[in-house]
Amino acid sequence: MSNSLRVLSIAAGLALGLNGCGFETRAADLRYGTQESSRTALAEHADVLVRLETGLVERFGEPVAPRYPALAAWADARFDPAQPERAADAGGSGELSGEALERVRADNAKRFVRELAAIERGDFDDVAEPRGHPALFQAFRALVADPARPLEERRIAARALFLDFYPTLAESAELYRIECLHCHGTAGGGDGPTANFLEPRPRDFRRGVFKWTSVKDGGRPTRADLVRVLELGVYGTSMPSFRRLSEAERQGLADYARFLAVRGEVERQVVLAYEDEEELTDATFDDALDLVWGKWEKAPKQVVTWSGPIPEPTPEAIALGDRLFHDAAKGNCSACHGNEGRGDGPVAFKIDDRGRKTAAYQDAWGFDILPRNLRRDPFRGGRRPIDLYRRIHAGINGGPMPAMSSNLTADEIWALVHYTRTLAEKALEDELAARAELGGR
Amino acid sequence: MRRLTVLLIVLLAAACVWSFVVAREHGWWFPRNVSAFGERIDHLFELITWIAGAVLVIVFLLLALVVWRGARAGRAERAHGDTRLEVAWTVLPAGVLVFLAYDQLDEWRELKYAGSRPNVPVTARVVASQFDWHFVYPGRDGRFDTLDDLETAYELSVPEDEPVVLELVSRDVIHSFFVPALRVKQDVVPGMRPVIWFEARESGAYEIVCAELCGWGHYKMAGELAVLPRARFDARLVELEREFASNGEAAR
Repeated sequence: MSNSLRVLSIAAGLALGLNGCGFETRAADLRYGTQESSRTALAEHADVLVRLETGLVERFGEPVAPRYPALAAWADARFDPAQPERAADAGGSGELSGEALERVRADNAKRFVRELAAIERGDFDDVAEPRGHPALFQAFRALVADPARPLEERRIAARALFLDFYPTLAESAELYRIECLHCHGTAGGGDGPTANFLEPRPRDFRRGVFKWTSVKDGGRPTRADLVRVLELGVYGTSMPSFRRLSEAERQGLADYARFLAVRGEVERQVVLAYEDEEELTDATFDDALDLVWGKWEKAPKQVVTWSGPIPEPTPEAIALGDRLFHDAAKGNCSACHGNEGRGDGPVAFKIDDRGRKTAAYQDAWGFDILPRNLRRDPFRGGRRPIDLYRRIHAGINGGPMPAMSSNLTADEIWALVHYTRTLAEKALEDELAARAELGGR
Repeated sequence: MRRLTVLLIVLLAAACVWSFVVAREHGWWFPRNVSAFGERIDHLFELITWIAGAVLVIVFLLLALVVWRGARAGRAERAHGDTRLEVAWTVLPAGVLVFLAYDQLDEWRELKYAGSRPNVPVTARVVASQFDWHFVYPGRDGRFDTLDDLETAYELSVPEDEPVVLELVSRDVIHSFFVPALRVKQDVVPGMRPVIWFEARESGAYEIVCAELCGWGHYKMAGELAVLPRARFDARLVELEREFASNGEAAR
């Protein structure tokens, strides 16, 4: 082998080796850190920034051992956010409802079918460690190894252990590290290593602003909203469906996303309070926590619903929707979404200094945002009529889509929903007509 | 040195063959076929594997022979080609390829040609995008892109023991819809609408994967094919319909 080849292969080996193992952060070394906004606001007060971070770590832990801060309101309600499934009577705190709990159990029964069958036979040694659940397996071994308890009792307890499996916050954090971190970032800042390759960018949880919710008045999402996003993904973006995880794992991830959002919001709130009062004490943190959690607690009460079956898409309703869509005094949808719903309305664009046509609006995260092409694009928040009703009724958090509930009656909103839904069909008809004109295929 | 080289070559050939034998014995082979057509795909695969296996063994043994005899002859000598040999190693593989092309004509026609498509309406549209699968059912009116379309992610339900026709669409890059248990694999090229068909003979849940490297999240692009008896398939559609018509009062 010639010398240059030898040098080349050694260099290649070195590069591969360094790339493969040199730069990876170990799970235990991950840190939440602080947000850029806090660092900018406290640029002159390095000591406060340190106290901010220490205060946050004290209350929320670090990724390897995250924990909820102790909140007086939770103690009163006997609500343990780390175990929402145990808090059926906590009321309004975003706990698992009976139905969601049933789904978790049903999915666990499917997920652990082999383990449960072995337990049923009383053959404890036949239970292998289920992938990704070392803690569950340890608890199981400890339980069945106890010779003092009768076999039947151990069997029932082991069965319950698997059926009622619900990840702890730390387990969800670990799953988040594997499945979500590469886009959403360690602290949920939407700044993971793959985030730069995505359009639209992944959500920054730390403002508590979520787009695809069922709530009005810019409220925080309910747990069910977050779980639904994990289940179905956000169609039309890079957020995929996580149905390949179990229901319990999805619920746990929703918990953790909420945890990161609360943590991020508390940080921002503390910085705001400091800027107001020029001091940072334990009370600053506690007040911020109460304020932030109050918003999340309120979410289930802000859900937009409709009583009774949803109205039929009658031709009259669709015609009314058509009028409202174009009526500048009522829906005025065409101003942004365009006359035909192509997302090319005049208001959505501006001409910049260099004469280029660019987006007129930015979203809450500072990125350009364009209106949806209603004929072609998937509806990211879901295409059920109730999803569209909520979108028009309450607007979209963090974006320019306004809440129309003050301007339109419920019937008018439904008319718009049905009209919007016909636009895809209109697009299909146009396409078929165009093909026929070209000689038909 | 010469003996060692020859031994290594023979061992390598033996290891290749042996890996196939072991894979089968341990169930590392294909998942059990549940498609009515799958046996014929498997037959083609077996045939090609046998031919390729035979070629592998022959080439390795020839190589071993050359090393053995060539090394004994001392220095290598420069030859300027051998017409008979060249014709032989061109015609023989060409013959094998022509035979394979001919032998699979029927399968290709029955799987890929529009004329062989079963005369049933499209069961669902498969929408591939980075990095998951969405499935759209045409709803009661039997047409896509209308008000009563039903849409879901991850899980595609199809009826058992009936011809199923799927329309494939990609929203961004090239994906490939692959159901190993059905022996069905079809590239989904943006702008085209390939149609595939199959008949699943056994109800159950089977894996759907993307078989075309489509980006950094390719490995996440999984789904589940739920083959259901007709009654349960219909019930599943009704369930989707009910969820679609939700008024938001239930938790979801």
